[in-house]
Amino acid sequence: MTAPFALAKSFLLSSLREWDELFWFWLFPIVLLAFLGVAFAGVERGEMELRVILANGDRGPIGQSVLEGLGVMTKEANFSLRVEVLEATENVDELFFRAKRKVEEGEAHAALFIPASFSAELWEKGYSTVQILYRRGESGSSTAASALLEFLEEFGHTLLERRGILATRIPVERRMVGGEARPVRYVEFVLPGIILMAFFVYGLFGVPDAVIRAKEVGIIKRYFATPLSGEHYLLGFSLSALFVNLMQVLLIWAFARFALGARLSLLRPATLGFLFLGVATSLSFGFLISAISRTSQGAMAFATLLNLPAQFLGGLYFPVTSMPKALQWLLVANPLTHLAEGLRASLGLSTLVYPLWLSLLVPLLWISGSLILAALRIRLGEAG
Amino acid sequence: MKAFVAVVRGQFLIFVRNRLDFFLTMGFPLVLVFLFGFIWAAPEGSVKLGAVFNGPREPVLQALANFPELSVQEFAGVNELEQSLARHFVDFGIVWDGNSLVFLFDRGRIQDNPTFEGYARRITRALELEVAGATAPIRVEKVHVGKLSTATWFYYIVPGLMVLALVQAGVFAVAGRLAGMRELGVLRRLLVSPISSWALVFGVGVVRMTVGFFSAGLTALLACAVFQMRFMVSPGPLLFYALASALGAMGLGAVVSMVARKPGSAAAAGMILVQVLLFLSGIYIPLEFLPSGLRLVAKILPAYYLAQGMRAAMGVIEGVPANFWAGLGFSAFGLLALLLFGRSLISPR
Repeated sequence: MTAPFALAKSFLLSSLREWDELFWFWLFPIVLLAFLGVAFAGVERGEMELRVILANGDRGPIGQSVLEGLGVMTKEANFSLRVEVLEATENVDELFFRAKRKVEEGEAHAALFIPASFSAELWEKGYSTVQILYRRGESGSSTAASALLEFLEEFGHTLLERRGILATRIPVERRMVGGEARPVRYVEFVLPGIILMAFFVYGLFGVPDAVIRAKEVGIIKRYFATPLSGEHYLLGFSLSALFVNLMQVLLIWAFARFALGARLSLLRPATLGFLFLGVATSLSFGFLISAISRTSQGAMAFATLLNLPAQFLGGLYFPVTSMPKALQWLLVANPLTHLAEGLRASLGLSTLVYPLWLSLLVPLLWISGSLILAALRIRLGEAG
Repeated sequence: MKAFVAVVRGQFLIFVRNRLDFFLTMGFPLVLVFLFGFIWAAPEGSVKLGAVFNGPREPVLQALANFPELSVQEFAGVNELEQSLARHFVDFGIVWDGNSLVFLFDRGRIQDNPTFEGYARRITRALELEVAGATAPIRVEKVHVGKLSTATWFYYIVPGLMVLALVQAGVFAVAGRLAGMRELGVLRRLLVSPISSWALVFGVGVVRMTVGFFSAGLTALLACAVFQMRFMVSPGPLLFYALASALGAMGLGAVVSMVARKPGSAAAAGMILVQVLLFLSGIYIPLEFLPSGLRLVAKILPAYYLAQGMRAAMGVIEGVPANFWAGLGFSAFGLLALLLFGRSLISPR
């Protein structure tokens, strides 16, 4: 019984000596978590810096009020909105084109253009039109344009209140549903996704790389010249994989907890259950690829083909349930979707989107299917 | 010249016979384009709003008519709405009792909720106007001034993916292929033949760059063919940024290979470098989202300017001189690094 443990130790040590494996299996998940955590924590703290241009062609009092109001709003906004006021000239068209040019060239995310007739029209007709210039499709620009739009609506509301047209405001309550009643941070949302990514990358690349390369260079043949059996070999490998996955979870969790301030306890029965299911799924995928690939190159190609789509269509980094209908069946069939959903629900971050039985059944079907196929196809004794 | 042609031929055959390399060049762009295309190529779809009316529904429906992008689904009760919301059947919810509003959001939709909350504030204001029988005094016309009339975020990603393909090919031509040849002892054997060291470096470089160019081109072609994207390509700038990406990346690969000389470490260090460049390039995550410190680092690194330059060359954004100078500087760096470290790179030790 010591043979599988000795094998597990040797697999682990050789994995730790490989630079590629150290990077992809140990370091990369933490780098990715750090990057996503830091990037989106900045947005949560309001560090998103947007530059807007105010081109006021109106010499009347209301145009000036808009300018002052925008200054107040930028202090209250959820992100840093840097306002640049273009110096007004006699030629309002020229002012418009200067603002437009700055948005086009990316010097500003959006521009608010107030026409010369703004105050007069507002006074005479009761309404007037302004223009927000932005670059559609670019998220920074769209966000800046939305901020300006909201500001203008609020400004218009204040005008109506002052005139006594809008007497009361409607009381509004904002309520969160799903998961446990506490605020969720992005780093907490993405943490289960990063853990699953680490498992999956190890399963898809680490397992076939070790198994097929060992066949290719003839190490397995030498193993089987000893009293070791194929079962010993696979058990030893699975033990080392389990240890790697456990270390991955601990490292990722510790980094999230102490460097990024995530407050999640993984020691919940349901969480541990889904984590174990994740390990089993990634390992069974790894064994399947090892069984159906003849060379390590072929295995890597197959793993690469599977890796990114499974991750992105599994909701590891962002919710995927609002994706196009054409992709919905892929989401349901993807075990990562259910593992990510299950982990998040078990951690109180959300409610299960799919029924629990489906969230368990899909990964279990993949595990059993992959293992059966792998058992039928794998030929450990053959040279690659 | 004969030696150079022989190296090119040999490297090309190695590439074609290497299934992984071949797949990464041909299949990877396909995977990325399909994946990101399905996620980001479609214009913003409708947002599903679940509504419970415990008061007169007419004013709310009138207010909601200002938001054609919202599709409204009515629910009999709040519990039903909450369940549908938690299971993502609707994106956010509204409950109206005739006097006050309750907006419901799903706790798990961290990235989407700011947008939905923005809608909630705007719906409230529209309803207040409706109830007061007033109209908005300031009407806003949103004018798209970007170069492409139907831009989506995918238009910004595709040129970025092209830069990524070129940078990856450049870094790994040197840090992967040449370092690998050194580690396997192939270099030693080649260098005792009459092949000059420069014929070898340029032979490997030309093949890997052709692979990078092919991969980048395939990315753009697939995006156009599958998602009907239409770019306004300027061939001159396109070639400039492609060459700048490739040459500069080869220089980076040379520096990496000089720093990390142990077996396997050059390729791993190259991978780390490419990942860092990718994260800080604004290709996937816009720089505005990054904290000020990281934003500053990103603006020092070349990847951001190369991606912006490529976007300009593909007609997605306006070109600015900073991109050109950064591209030129990166090329100069690449050339200098290859000249400085080239000889030492192909040293068989």
